[in-house]
This record gives sequence, C-alpha cells and structure tokens, in this order.
Amino acid sequence: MSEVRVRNLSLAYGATKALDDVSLDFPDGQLFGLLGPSGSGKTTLLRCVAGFVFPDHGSVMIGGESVERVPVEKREIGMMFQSYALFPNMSVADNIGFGLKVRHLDKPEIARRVGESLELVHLEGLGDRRPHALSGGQRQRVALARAIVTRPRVLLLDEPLSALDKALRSEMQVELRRIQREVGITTIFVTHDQEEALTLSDQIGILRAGRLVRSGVPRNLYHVPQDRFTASFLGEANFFDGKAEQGGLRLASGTLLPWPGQKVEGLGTLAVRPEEMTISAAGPAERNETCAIRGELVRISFSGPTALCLVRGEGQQFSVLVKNSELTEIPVSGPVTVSWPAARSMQIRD
Amino acid sequence: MSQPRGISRVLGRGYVGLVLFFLYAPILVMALMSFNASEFYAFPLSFTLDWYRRLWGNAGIVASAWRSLWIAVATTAIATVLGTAAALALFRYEFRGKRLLQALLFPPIAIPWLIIGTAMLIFFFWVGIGRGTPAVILGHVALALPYVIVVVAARLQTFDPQLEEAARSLGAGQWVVTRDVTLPWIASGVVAGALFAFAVSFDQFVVSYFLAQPGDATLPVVIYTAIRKGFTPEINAISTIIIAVSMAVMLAASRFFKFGGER
Amino acid sequence: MAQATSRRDALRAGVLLAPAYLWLTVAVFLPLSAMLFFSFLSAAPFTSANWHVTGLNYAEFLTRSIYPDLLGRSLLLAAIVTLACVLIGYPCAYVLARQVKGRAREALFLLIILPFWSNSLVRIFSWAIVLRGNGIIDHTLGALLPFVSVNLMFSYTAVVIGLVHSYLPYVILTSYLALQAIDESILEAARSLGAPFRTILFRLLLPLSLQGLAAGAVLIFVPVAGSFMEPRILGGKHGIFYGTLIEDQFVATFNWPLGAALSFILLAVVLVILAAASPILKRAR
Repeated sequence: MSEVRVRNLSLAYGATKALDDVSLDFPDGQLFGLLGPSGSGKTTLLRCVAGFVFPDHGSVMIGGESVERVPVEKREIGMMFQSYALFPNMSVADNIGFGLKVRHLDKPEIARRVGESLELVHLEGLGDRRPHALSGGQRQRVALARAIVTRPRVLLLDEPLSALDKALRSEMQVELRRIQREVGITTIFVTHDQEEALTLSDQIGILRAGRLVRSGVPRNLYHVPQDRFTASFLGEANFFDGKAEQGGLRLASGTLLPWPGQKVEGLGTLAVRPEEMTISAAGPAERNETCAIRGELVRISFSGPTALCLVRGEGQQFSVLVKNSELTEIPVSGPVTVSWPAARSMQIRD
Repeated sequence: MSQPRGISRVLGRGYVGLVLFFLYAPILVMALMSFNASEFYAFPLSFTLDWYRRLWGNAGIVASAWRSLWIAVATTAIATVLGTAAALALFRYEFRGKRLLQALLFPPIAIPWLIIGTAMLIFFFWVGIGRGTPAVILGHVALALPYVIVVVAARLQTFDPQLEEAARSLGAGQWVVTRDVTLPWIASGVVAGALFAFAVSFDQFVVSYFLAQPGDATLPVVIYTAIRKGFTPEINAISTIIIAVSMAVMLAASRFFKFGGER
Repeated sequence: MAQATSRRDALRAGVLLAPAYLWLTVAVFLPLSAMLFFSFLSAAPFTSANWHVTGLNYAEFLTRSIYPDLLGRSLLLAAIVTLACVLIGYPCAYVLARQVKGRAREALFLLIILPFWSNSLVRIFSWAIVLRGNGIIDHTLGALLPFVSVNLMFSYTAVVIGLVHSYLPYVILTSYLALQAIDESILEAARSLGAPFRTILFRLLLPLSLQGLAAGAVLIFVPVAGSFMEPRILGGKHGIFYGTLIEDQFVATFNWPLGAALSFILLAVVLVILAAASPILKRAR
C-alpha cells in the first residue's frame, strides 16, 4: 500500500497534448476518482501511472519511489480493464492465479491465495468456470480479484463499471467500495460518469484537455466548484453574470441578486444548482437572504420522482429541479418566480 | 433474397451443382483411370492396383515425393515461425513505414509466379546459390510468408489488445505474455497459416520448375517432365495421391480458418 | 512520443519483423531488381566474360513482331478466361451468398474453394485425360451420336477450359465475400419499393459487389497472362503463348537477358493492369 504522486506530467501525441503539466497526489489507502470528458487525458494519466506509456516530462512516484521509466510489468500494480480483459483460454482460477504464477509462487500457495480472493469477491466454487460462462457482474469480480491477488501497491481501474447495466452498476459500486476498504489499497479509477465519481470516491480530480482543473473531496467540489467547468461537469448549474455591487450582483436587466458575505469587484458570476431553486406562481418575496428572478415557464420534463422545469428569464434559460409532489403548485406555463436562498449561490472565479 | 420462390431456389442449387461437377469431374475421371488396367485408358474399366505398385517401384518418383514432402515441411516450419513473428509485430506496434511493410506483402502474391521464378533463378545464379534444394526452399518460404502473415493477422484482428496489457500489468514479461496469452488465442490462425504454407510449397510447380536441379527435382516438376513425354496411368496414380494429400491438408485448414469470412 | 517505451518497442518490432522481411528481400525484391538489371545486359555475366549494358533486348521485343504478337495473344487469352470465369462464377457466388444458408452454404463453399488450393498441375493433367481423343468425352458423345468423334485435346479450347477450371474458384471466392457482406435490409428496401430483380441486380448487387468481382478478375487475369504450364500440356502446337516464350528463354535457348526483358515487359503490363484496377479495388474501403 503506498501513496502515489505525479509531478508536472506532460505527454504529447504529435501536436495534441494528452497531459499538460499535471501534478496530483493520490493518498495512501484512498479511492481517488479521475473524472473528465473523453479526450481529457484521464485515461492517459492512469496509463502513465500504470506504466503503459512513459511521460515526456515529469515524475511518477509510487510509495516514494520514482517509477516513470519502469515498464508496467515491473511496477507491482494491479489494473482492471474496461473490457475486463479476462484470458479466454484460462479458467477463472487460472486467470486469478496468473500474476502469482508469473511471480513463481509454488502451487499450494497460489491455490490458497486464489481461494481467498474468490471468497473476497464472493465467487466461491466458480474457480473452474471459463470466463465466457460467467455473467457480466461475475466477470467484473474475477477481474478485480485478479488485479488485487498479487497485493499490488496500487490498484488502477479503467472505467470499471461502464460495461454493466444500471441496476448491476449500483450494486457493484457498493461491492467495489467494500472490497477496496477491506483490502485498504490505494486505488485510482477513471470514469466519465460524474454520479459514479461522486458516489465512490474519497477524492476526485477533474481533468479537461490534458490539464487538471480541480481536485478535492466530492462534497467540497460539488458545493464550492469555483470554476464554470467544475460546476457544470459535476452536476448541473445555472450561471448568472453581472456586475458586483455593494450587497449583491446586479444583472443586466437591473435585478439585484443579494449575495451577503461575498467580496466581488467588477464583473462577477454566480452559479446555482437547479435543486436549490424553488419555483412559484406568486411574485417575489423581497427578503435580503433570498434571490429571486421573474421568468416564463417554458417546459416541464417529468422524470419520475422529480421534474425539470425550463424557465426563460433575465435573457437566458435556466433549469429548476422540483419534487414531484410540488408540481401541483406550479402553473403549466406562464409567468413564474424562481427563488433560492442567497447562501446557496456559488461563486465562480473564471 | 431471404425467401426465393421455389423455382429459383431449385435453379440456383442446380447451377451450383453444375459448377461443382465441372470442378470435380475431371479429377474423379483421373483418379478412376489410375485404377484402370488398360494403359491406354480404354473402356470398360477393369480394376487394378498395378499402377500404384509400379509407382512404388519407381525410385525417381518416390525420391522426388519424399523430397517434396520434406521441403514442404521445412518451408512450413520456417514460414510459420517468421510469419507469425512478423504478424505479431505488425499488430502490436505502431511505427513509421508500417503501411509500406504491409503493402510489400502484396507483390509476392500478385506477381505471376513465372516472373518471380525466373527472377529468383537469375539472382540465385548470380550470387552463387544456383539451383537445387536450398534455392527451392528459399523461394518456397518467400512465397508462403505473405500467406502466413495475412492469415495470422486476420486472426489477430479478433484479439483484444487489452489482454496483453492485462497480462503485463500482472507482471508478465513479453515472452510470457506471448506464450500464455497471445499464442493460445491465435493458435488456430497459426495452424491455418502453417497449412497454407504447406500447400503453397507442396503444390508449387512454377517456382520449383525454375529453381530445382534436374535429377534432384520436386514431385510436380518430375510429373511435368513425365507428362511432356507422354501420359501413363502411373502419372494418374501419383496425381491422385497428390490431390488427395493437398485436399486433406486444406480440409484440415478449413477447420481452423473461416474462408467465408463469417463468424 | 519521444519516450523510452517507443525506442524499446522499435527494437522489439525490429527483431520480430527483420527475419521475415529480410527473407522476402533476398528471395523476392532483390531478384526482381536483379532481373531488371539483367534485362539490360548483352549476355549473362556467369556464362560469358564478354558482356555489356545494352537496350538491345527491349529493341528485339519491338522489332520482332512475334513477341508483341504473342503478348497480345496471351492478353486475349487472359481476357477470355477472365470473362468466362466471371460469367460462370458470379451467379454461383450469388446463389451461395444469398440463397443458401447455414451448414449447406459452408459445405458448398468449402467444396468450391478446395480445388483452389490443390495442385494446379495435376488438375490440368486431369483435363488432358478427359479431353484426349478416345477419352471419356469422346466415348460419351460417341455413345449418343455414333460416327461423331471429338478430340478437343491440343487446342485453344482445351487451354481455355483448363485455365477456367484452374481459376474459377478465385472469382467465386471474392464475389461471395462481397455479396454476403451486403445488408439484406437494403435488398428488402428495394423490393418494398417495387424494384424487379433485374433492377436490384444491376443497380444494387453488382455495384455493391463490384470490388470483390474486380479483385477476382484481377487475380485471374494476371496469372493467366503469364501462364505457360497449362498451354504446354493442353495446347500442343496451339499452346504457344507469351509465357511459354519466356520459359523457352530460360530452359531451352538459355538467352536469360532476353528472358529477363520479356519477363519485365510482362511485369510492366501486370502493374499497369493493377494500377488501372486499383480505383475499383480501393473503393468502398
């Protein structure tokens, strides 16, 4: 078990910078999620830590040891692949035991540890099966067991759950978390699914175009996103641009959004999560701690327990998430007032 | 059409039957005649194994048959190993000139063997290799290599490169990865490639014709020389054996390689 | 990627590739280059100490009309054989690809391409047995129509029959691959629009499988233009073609430089044909 640090990592494929001066710490024993759109460099970063690619510049340290020029097979890492990459010509037990066989452990020891791993992932008795005779979830468990049975210093997961359907995915999220805790291994996983990143991770790093945008604890990133990209990539956000004034933000239309405790000068932007907003037919209640905007309800898209209302106002469109039970209090269309507690406004600094 | 009307279905099958008749009838006639007692292929047929017995006594043909066989085995071994290695490299690595290397496999397949054979004859004489069995093997391997590479590469198309990465992440070096993960997957392609190589060599006439030493030739060359002197049922007998062997080899290959490109 | 991995990878790729490509270089590419050089020599260096560089071999091709005539004769033969193979093979490929299904299709297809990989010399010889006077065709016809005797052996027709037999599987193979790749729903769409079979054939099937058909045609035309064994065995005195001319230079008259020049002219023709066909072959990739 070891901490992983990368410092000033850069890697270019021809003219495209896959990684651009990325520095990040992956603390010992934590589950760290790398999140970003496709092409953001998250997978490249993972493959740099794994040793499949070597960086042009910068260092990769695993447990305090510089490894950026060590090829993958000598790095003592465990990796789980998006397609699971189970060896089709080997049984489940041989798949799991492969890394131990490569390390020339004797047969009884291999059998013992393979047995332990099967127990850990709740696949007792399936050791003789072939991978193609397993279900998707079972294959995933085998892949995980295979990756950790060698007791690697770090576990790397490349989009580990993307091949599973929704129900199985949430079940496996819990399982993954349990096993990771039980083993206590430093884990880095790559995903493009922000919900998955928020659920699973101790910490999250957000990448965009090869650069690290932000990193931190999920709650913190969600509630204090600081930049537009993080705010809109982690969850949804409505943005309001305006001029900072004493006590608030003055929008172009003249509406003042009170914003106590913020020191903003010049132009400023605030972001509000759709679920923090409420919508009503009545006029605005003028209170100091409440922001209110008048607008026109354009459309309601119903999605089971909640509904998303699209509102036009202040020269833009924004969305408001309402509980199903509150839907009855809202007109189907026409003028509405959207409001939220001023403390829920998040400051955007870029 | 998924549901052709009955008549076109019958017509279609009948037509394929005719084509098959055209392809196989002469071979069957030839095989039949090898069991005919009459030296002049006269009718009616009277069964005999005489020609096969005589064949066995014909030292020249027997020697050339064994020579053809071991040249084919040697060609198969060399071409399979070199071709599989090359296919692996073309699959695994990205490098400049890769497309050129792939394109270079085309000329040995596409250029008529007459041209390649005569070119080999000139060059081998020039550099002192001359004619004979080494020259024949040199030529046969070169003709078989592109087939092996293409067939193995086709099998590799279905191989998930993440399997190699997974094995490496578990600590396996290049050789262990190849032996335990890659080769088991492409084994059927390698076997098919080997059988193709065997067929290219064992059935090779044109290139052997120019490169073999007279008196030390391969079976097809000996048969060609014999045919030009006049037909004898002995030639039918050895031809029947050859066609049986090569069809058996290709039937075996078909178990490992989908010619139809499905599945 | 200026990295150590790529340098190591380059080394590994080199180790794996070098043996195969060195072999091809020594046994194919160097010989072809040597032949080009040789075609400009007055005599073979290893038979005569008195040799020099000359264009005479090519001049001889142009001045003695028998050579271009034979080349034309071979190209005509190749065209006839190719056309026959296409006309016979394409419908067969169509039936296999679109009318037969499942195991029957697999078995039939295998039967058709099996001869493709068996000894061509032996198959040509088998036609000699069938076509010869007093052979099986003669007998069969004789039984039906007394006093009629056919002897196709040693004729142009015999050469064409033998070559069609040899190369027919190529065009069936390539056309079949192209035809079975056509999405059934495209054809169903055409039928739902009321298209008759003729329209479907000429507007959909043929254009969509043209690549495979052309590949098969090239694979037949090129080797037939250079054939010599088949005309020798089946053609007799009608079996003089460009290929046999080249063969003679190497095994009978031993004029290797002339043979090299003749080979090279054939290679040039082959390359022109491949280049001409390449737009069709590359299309739809």
